[in-house]
Amino acid sequence: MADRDPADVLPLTPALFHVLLSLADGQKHGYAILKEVELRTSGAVRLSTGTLYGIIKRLLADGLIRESATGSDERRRAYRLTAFGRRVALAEAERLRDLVVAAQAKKLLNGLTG
Amino acid sequence: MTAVDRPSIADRVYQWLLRLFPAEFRGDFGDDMRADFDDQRRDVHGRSRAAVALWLRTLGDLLRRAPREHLDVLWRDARHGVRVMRRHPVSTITVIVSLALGIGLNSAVFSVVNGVLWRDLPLPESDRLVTLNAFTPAESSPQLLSSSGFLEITRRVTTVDRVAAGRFAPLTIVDPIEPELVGCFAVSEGYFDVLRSVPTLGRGFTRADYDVSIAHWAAQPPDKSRSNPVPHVMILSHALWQRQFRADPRVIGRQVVLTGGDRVQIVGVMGPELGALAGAVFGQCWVPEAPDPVQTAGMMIAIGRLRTDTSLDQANAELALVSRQLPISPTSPSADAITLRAEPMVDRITSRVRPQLMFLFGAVVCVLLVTCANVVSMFLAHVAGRRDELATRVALGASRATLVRQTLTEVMSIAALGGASGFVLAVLGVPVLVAMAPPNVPRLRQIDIDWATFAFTSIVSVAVGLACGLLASMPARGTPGRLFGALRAGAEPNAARFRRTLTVAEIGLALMLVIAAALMVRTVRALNGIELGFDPAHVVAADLSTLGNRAQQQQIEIVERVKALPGVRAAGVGAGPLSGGGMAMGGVIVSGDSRRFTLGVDAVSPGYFEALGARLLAGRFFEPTDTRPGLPQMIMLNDTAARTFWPQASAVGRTIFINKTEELIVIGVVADTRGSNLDEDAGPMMYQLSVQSRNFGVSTMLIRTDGDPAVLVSQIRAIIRSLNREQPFSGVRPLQQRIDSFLAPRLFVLRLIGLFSVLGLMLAIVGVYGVVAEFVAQRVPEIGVRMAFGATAADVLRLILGQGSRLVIAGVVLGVAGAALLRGAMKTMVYNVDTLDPLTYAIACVSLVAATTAACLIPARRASRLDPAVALRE
Repeated sequence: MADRDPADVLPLTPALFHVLLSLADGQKHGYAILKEVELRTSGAVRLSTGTLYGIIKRLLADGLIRESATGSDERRRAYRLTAFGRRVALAEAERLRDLVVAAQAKKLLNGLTG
Repeated sequence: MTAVDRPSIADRVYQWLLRLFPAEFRGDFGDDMRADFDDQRRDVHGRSRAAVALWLRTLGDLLRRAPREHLDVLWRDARHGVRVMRRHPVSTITVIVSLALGIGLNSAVFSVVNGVLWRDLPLPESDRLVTLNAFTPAESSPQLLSSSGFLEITRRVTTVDRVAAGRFAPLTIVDPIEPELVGCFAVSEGYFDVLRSVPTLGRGFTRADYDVSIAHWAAQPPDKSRSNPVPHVMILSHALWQRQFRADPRVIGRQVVLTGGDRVQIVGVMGPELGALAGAVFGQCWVPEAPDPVQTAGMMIAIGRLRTDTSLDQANAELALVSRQLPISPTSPSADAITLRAEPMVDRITSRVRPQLMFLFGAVVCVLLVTCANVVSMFLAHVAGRRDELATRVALGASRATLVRQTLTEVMSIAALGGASGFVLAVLGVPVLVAMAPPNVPRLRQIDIDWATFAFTSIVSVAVGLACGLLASMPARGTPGRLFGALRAGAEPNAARFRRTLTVAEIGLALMLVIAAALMVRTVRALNGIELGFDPAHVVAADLSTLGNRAQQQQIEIVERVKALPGVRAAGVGAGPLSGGGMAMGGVIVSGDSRRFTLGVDAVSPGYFEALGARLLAGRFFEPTDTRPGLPQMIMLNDTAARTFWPQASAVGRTIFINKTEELIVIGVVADTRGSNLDEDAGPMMYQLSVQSRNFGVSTMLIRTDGDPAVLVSQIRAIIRSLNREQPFSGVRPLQQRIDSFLAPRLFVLRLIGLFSVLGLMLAIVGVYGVVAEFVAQRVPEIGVRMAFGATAADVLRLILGQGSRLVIAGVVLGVAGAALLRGAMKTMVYNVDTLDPLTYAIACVSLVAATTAACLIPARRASRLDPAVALRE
């Protein structure tokens, strides 16, 4: 697993990236992920349970996240990033940053620092 | 009570919606999803608009997501299947190739059958187009209508919107094109209106065009000497226009010259769609001709268009009534008890080839069934080979449904691959089939690979995949516990028995195909062995029908000049054989016999029988000196006629009378010669000298040569052309070609059924081999024990062959029974062979038993050579 190149799974769909992002600061269960994504995007991205668990299934199968032993209770499971998942999230963030930098160079977008 | 203990309605609804997802997904995430949704609902509690929004969003999401999850499962199973296939490339490729062959052949034959028999005619509302056919109790094929009968019918029928009729009236166009005998249709008014077809160039026929023929009929005496009207305008078919007039749009208004110098003006050209009618109600060109109100001999085909508010059954009910009301028989004066029936036009066009095509379709379905049996059998063997893997997976919790689903997906993907390759095969195969098909098959040119073929291929592939997949996954049924037990125990009695059953079925089906092929081989041999009564080798036939009225003198001149060619042995002119000439003459009586006979009549010139190679049985042939004027009427009889009249004594020198007035002396008797239908007996025939008989309108010169007749064809053409500029170029060809074209339909069936039976046989061999090889593989230790206790190699061989022969014998019984049961399908195709012919069946059985036994021998020999020490250790 450690040898896998994050570039293999890039680019991510926005929804998928949002899910990874919400797990970046710790384990969460499904509902918490839904809530966080909604709050972070001020309601612009609202995941529903069907989509969310489709994404979770894929992330689990690809080894980007795993079930957390400590966060799960009898009602539901919690998930956390794997080391690989963290690298993928980072790589995707870098990819997006590079795009933003490129847009700034073309004066399409104002610099972040003004 | 909390919500957890007793689910709320909302929760139950959500749970119900989750059923849209695959069971596996539901099992993994269902509870989490319910809990999350529960939280989401709590968030919007009391805010009804937000609650509605949440429900709508969730519902849309679930509906969108669930199919993708299903696809995901399918995709994973397919990938699993591909992995399994890649581990067994040989058997996978075998299965795909046999499926491709099975499905491809079916698609190819389907596209021919569909194109010829089933596809709509390319005319507006063609399903309402009918032919009005007359049937006698004796004949199964429709009789031609007389023009007066047709007129009587038109007056009475109301359920058919418009009725029109056509008469086949071939004419030879000699200018401005290469002289050609053209299959012309003389059609009544409204013919093209019935078809709803309009000329693409020029105009259709008008009322005035018909006035000429109406006036002609009115001026004719009401007896046998009535002549047909000479056409003055014509409409060309698209094909004739393209071929002979190079698609020149300026043909409209041009005149063509017929033999005899009559001029006909081209007024229109029809579209190519009418070419689809070829075979029954189609001409290469059309001329207007009002039906003769007096003519009572059958010569017309009537067509009509059903009224939109009328069904075919209603029309037929009315026609049944009309049949009884008619004052005269609508076919010919002598016919009785005629029944009129409307039949879809497409049926009339295709009726001649329907039995053959349906038979081939049935045979090719048979091939597909053998293929399927083989595929299932191979998969069962496969499952047996993967016992350990499956047992492990069952132990790890894979459900029965998962195993069935995976097998199904695996087989379906293989069937899809086989179907796709099969479709490619069909695309390549259809042109080959069309090229192989005898040219008399109607609508051949309309055949192509279309959506129907594609749909058929897809449906067959899916059906084959489903059927094979379900059958192949049968061992995976039953409770997981038992399944696990069975898998671990290594033996699967059910699967093995099922495989043997499949193999028996396979052998049976293959044998049916082999029997059909053997019957066709015997038929073609019987046709080739027909006592023709003449010798077609080294004979050229030249059609001289276009000589028309100048016939007698020119014929003599042509014959004399052809005789002078080097290499020509004999030449003479007659209406037959194989040309469809001649006619029947009734009222023949013989002195001392009270009966009245009907004889076939042909008019021939001296030299004709020598050129034909007919055998003289008594008396002499006609001599050139017999043609001098003033001699008594001389005839020759064929053997059947001579023996009918004088069973005990020689016919030579005796006299027959026609209508008590004409007196004819028999000068010789020839062996019976077959007519244009080689498989029909000649019947009693008499031959007159053409100078002493009336002109039959049809005449064929036969030329017997020393060597290859083909080399003389061009010289003979040149001679005929020099004397008769109007001779159609196509009219000179070796006589053998006419015989070949008669054999062509059966040869076509024979070639295809031969191919199918070889395929079926090969598949059966593979099937038997597989089962016996598995039997051997499973019994290696047992065989070791037997050999250790003194069984010889021969004993082992017998044991294994015994296993195989049980399958073969069961298959043979099944196949013979099947063939006997379905023999009716072959009735129209065989000639002089009983469809239950014991010898044919025996030959087919022996060859099948030999082939399958050979397949058993390979594993049997392997078993007999086992080293007991090694075998016991396994």
